[in-house]
Amino acid sequence: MAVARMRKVHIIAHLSRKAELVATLQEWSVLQLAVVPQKERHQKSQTSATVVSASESEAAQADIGRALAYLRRFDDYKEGLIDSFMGLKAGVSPELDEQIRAGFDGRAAAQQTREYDKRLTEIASERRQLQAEQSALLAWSSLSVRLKAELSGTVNISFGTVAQKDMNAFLQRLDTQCQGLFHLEQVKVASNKVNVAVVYHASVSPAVIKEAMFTPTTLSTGEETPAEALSAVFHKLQALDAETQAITAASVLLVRDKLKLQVLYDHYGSLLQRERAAAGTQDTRQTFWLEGWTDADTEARLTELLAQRFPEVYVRFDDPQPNEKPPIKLKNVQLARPFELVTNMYGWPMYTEVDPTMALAPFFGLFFALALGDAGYGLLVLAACWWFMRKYKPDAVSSKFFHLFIISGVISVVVGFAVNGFFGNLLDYVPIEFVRQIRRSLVIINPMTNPMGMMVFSIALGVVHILLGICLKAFMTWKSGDKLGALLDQGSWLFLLSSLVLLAVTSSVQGLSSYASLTQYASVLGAVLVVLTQGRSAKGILGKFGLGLYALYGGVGYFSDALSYTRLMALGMASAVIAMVINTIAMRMMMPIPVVGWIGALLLLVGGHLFNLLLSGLGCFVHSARLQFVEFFTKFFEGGGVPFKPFRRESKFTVVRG
Amino acid sequence: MEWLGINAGLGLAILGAALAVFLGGTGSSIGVGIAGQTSAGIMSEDPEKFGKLLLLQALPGTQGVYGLLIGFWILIRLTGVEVVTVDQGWQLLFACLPAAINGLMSGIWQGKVSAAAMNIIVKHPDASGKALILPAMVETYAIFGLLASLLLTNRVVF
Repeated sequence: MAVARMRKVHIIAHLSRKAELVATLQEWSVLQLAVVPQKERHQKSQTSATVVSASESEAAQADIGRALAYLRRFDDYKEGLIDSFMGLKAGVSPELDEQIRAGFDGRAAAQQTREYDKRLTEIASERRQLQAEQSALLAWSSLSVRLKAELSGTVNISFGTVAQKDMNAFLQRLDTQCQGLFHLEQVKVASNKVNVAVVYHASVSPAVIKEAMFTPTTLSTGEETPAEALSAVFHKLQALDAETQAITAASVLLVRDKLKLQVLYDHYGSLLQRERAAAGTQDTRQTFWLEGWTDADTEARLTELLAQRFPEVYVRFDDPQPNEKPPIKLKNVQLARPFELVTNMYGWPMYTEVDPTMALAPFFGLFFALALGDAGYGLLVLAACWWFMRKYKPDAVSSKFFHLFIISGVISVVVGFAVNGFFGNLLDYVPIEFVRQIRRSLVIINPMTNPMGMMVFSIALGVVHILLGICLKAFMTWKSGDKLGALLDQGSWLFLLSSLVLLAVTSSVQGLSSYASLTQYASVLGAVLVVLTQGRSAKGILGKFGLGLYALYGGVGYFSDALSYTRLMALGMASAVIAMVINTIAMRMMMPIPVVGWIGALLLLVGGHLFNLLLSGLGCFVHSARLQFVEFFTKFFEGGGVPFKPFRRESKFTVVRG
Repeated sequence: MEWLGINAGLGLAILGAALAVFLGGTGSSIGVGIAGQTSAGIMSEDPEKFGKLLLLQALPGTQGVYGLLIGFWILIRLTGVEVVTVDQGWQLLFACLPAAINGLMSGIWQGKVSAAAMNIIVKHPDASGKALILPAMVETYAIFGLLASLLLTNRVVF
């Protein structure tokens, strides 16, 4: 239950060793580099020359990134829902990683895809142009004159459209203006428009023709007839299609190199990281000074490793200064480690705070189990986790997620039997008396017949949770040196709240009623203590008293907090009742119709329980987390720390593992 | 209460059950609808967020389930009961109201919070866990309504 003790590391060495040292540190992955801001750097330090060369890896990475983006268009493999949810990376053995980096020319492949991509874009624009030409020519395809060649020089030819209703007027005007020296060819009539070709004497200006209600069309006039031009366009389009197909086929082949490209992408990414890390040091003409953080447990190992590999390097470890904010590393026992995920959903503790993970772990599991309230569903959760871990082999961080659910699932199985839930009341339908007897003997509280008992249990659990939160606050205040504050602030509340709990117990349990008056006095004393101590910060007697009273009023918050835990019972009952309803309907369906009824009932049981598990499971997780954040953390935890991120190979696509 | 007919008690009880199912379901459909519109908008830009968005969209769906649950709960309580008096009928009807009305209102508001929380997933994908908690704060009151209805219907003596 702790935030690991951190140590500030200073490494000073000759500049010639920098690249190798940085690369080695990345491989060891134990040190978080502290980049010293420019303005805080020592005046005599120089900006590293390596900044410039960083662009090389960056460009290579960007190239390959673009290639991968291009290839995704030809990739049949679509990322599934689970993949996108988990953000899983491809596993690569170190040998394969090495082999790809040495033997595969990624930038050549990237160059190739860039050419393909460029050509495809060109083809698309050429195709658009040809298609426009094609649709223009189509309207003229029945015209048999060559578009340009057959003109002798004494006549001109104009193409255009005339509205059908204006045709007669157009002919008349043309006749008068050209004095009969023209020939008109109607080419095609479509949607009230007539395509016409007008051949007229060279002495008539084209403008005159245009005036006669004529909308001219420009055709790509060549040495051929429109039909010939059309077929040429068609052939060009066909050629483009063939080329597209060829490029697509070649690109599909390149998709096979996806993994190699991904390995290289990550490789250049890690080079880039190294270069950036190297640029973050403070340099003199001969030496560099690298600062970082590591946890105290790693100190000895890091010292030893450095001494072996870089014996000439100067290393010093310091405790963090009061004005420094070390990065946070959580240190918990194996079983509690998955629950760090819950803590981290809220935030990271400050360096001076307690890590709440260890305290919340048992409660989270128990809350989840109570809210699920079903041993059968617990087993399903376990089975699902087992299947996922087998199929996807998640890395250490993702595994935490599954371990969290495995632990919660195990607790759910135990608690589920205790609250009489196994796929609702499914076992009641088993015609063997022995099975039902075992099930009955495991039940401690049945929320269906004793909802009040379950509710009281939920609230009791909540009270323990809240009191633990106040104790942790007291512990932290005590540790920070404010011993009086711990006694007065948390002590008085602890006294009052536990007296009230005892009062509730003694006045409701028969045999203890003789103690009831004692607990009453204790409660009054507790309230007085709270009023007397909580106003310390105010000025004047009246102010102190008033603030104390106000603090006592604030105690209402504890009651609403405790009542908030009743959700556990309500959620548990909700999933149990729905499970019961599914069973009832399925059993009724089974009775009347022999075979079809059984199949239907089975489908309903499987589908219904899965649906219930998914919906309840989501609620269980979310509400168990909420109880930690809102009811528990508010008592002692602030958060706001920055997580410890050791300098290591960060990858986007692949994970190197043996 | 004679004007209600001889079997008015049963009718009132069924009215209560129906109200719980109907109002809870309405709240959830509106809530899931609001959240669904937002997630569809986000997915038109970034279809890969489907999984996380679906979870957020599903959150306001529980009110409908709670309403249905109260409906079934009344049904279970009524199995084997020969006659439901008018008094018992009224009691059951009123007992259903917390789940019904809380479900209606919280379903709508939870949908709005879910839709807003989807923006967190877009802008800070790492904080998706936090985005799940915000809508759950609203759901608390649907759970309390459900709890009250469960306990109240349990108190009705036949």
